[in-house]
Amino acid sequence: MRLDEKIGLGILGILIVAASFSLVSGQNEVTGPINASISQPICIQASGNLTAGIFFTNKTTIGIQYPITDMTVENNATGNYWGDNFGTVYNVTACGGNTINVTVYQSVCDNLRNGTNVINVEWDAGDGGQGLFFGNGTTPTAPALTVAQEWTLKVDNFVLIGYRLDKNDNIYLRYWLDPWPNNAPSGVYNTTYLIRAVEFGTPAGDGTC
Amino acid sequence: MKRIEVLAYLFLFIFLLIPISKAQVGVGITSYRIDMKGSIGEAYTYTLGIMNPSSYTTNVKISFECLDCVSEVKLFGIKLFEKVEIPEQYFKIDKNLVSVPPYTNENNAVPVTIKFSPKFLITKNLRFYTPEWLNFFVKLVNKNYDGKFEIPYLTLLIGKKELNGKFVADVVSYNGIKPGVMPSVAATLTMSAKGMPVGSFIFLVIIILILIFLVLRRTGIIKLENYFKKSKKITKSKK
Repeated sequence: MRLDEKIGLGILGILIVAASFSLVSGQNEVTGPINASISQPICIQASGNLTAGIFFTNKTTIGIQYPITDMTVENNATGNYWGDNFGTVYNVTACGGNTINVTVYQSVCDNLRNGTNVINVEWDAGDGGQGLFFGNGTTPTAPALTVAQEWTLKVDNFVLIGYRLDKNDNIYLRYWLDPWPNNAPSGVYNTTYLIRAVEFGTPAGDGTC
Repeated sequence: MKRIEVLAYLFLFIFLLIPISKAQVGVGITSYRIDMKGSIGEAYTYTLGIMNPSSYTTNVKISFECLDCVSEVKLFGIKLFEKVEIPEQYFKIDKNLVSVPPYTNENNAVPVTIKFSPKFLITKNLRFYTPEWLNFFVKLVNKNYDGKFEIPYLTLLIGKKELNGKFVADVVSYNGIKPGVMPSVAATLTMSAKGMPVGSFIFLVIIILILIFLVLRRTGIIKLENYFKKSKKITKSKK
């Protein structure tokens, strides 16, 4: 082997080995000023009644859960008018330590289920509009029922329930269920809900639970 | 007496049906935005805290939801497959479930660390969707088949890669009780990983080619002298 070949091979070999080792390993720990410790909190609290769950009763009862017998009307959640002055006991609070405004979304993890039987929560045009409706407002008595598609919750998809909450702000909520199909068999139907806060003006993310 | 008994049972029944929880349940993250920037060959750590403003001990699920990890690959407007980024190839969250004591704020939040270490060699997935007529036969063998499958492949991190998503904290239980409505907060997470510059990659390819050429020449597989001699002979014979 000639000398120039030896030198060339040596340099190339060293270059490639050094580059490959450094690039592929990626384990050179960098400490000091690059480590970040930031405190700009984002935080919410759901009311106790909301965290316990949304229990539906019939159209007229307040506070107590009775079985739904009329499948063609908007049946109340037990806490809709259970607070002071018939205000709702469902609310979400932006924590006092927040330094930003937050937007609050809600999704349903699944339709209401009892074994293989299903009560759908999403919008359907039957009965003049049916599904799981929500109303929102800034006072406990403000949320009102609007029978329209944009006021129904969605499975695995977030629906905006609180547009812009500053620290210590509350968003108050009421819920109504007009179950469908109307011939769903008797039984106890369950599901879980997700309420998420994000920085105002940013997307909510995935609505799956 | 019997009337009192009936009334007592009735009140007990009503009491059991009323949701009795009055205390709030909440969750927080000490940073609403996480911007991670770095280059291959280096590792960075970002420490965040999970807060609990409520009076219960909560179990909080930590996860990353990617907003732009899936891109469609099309040919003449027809979708062939999806290219799926694997966020763990760039960064990892050290915990996926934390227990947060009551009344934890920014000062005593439970720490969660994100280790960000972009690598030159990364894995991605190709996701294929199979037609319904084929799914029927596949489900005979595998009942859990959901109509799609993924094939991993290795690729190089050339240029800059950006990922956007949410760092999510969901309350999955409080005092051991599963909530009917799960409170959740999500911080915006952006990642920008600098890979090898395109120019450097071309340079590296050229170096490798030269090296291969030198090796082949040395081992006698390529004989440059013979090539020149042959070309000289050809030019002489033409003359």
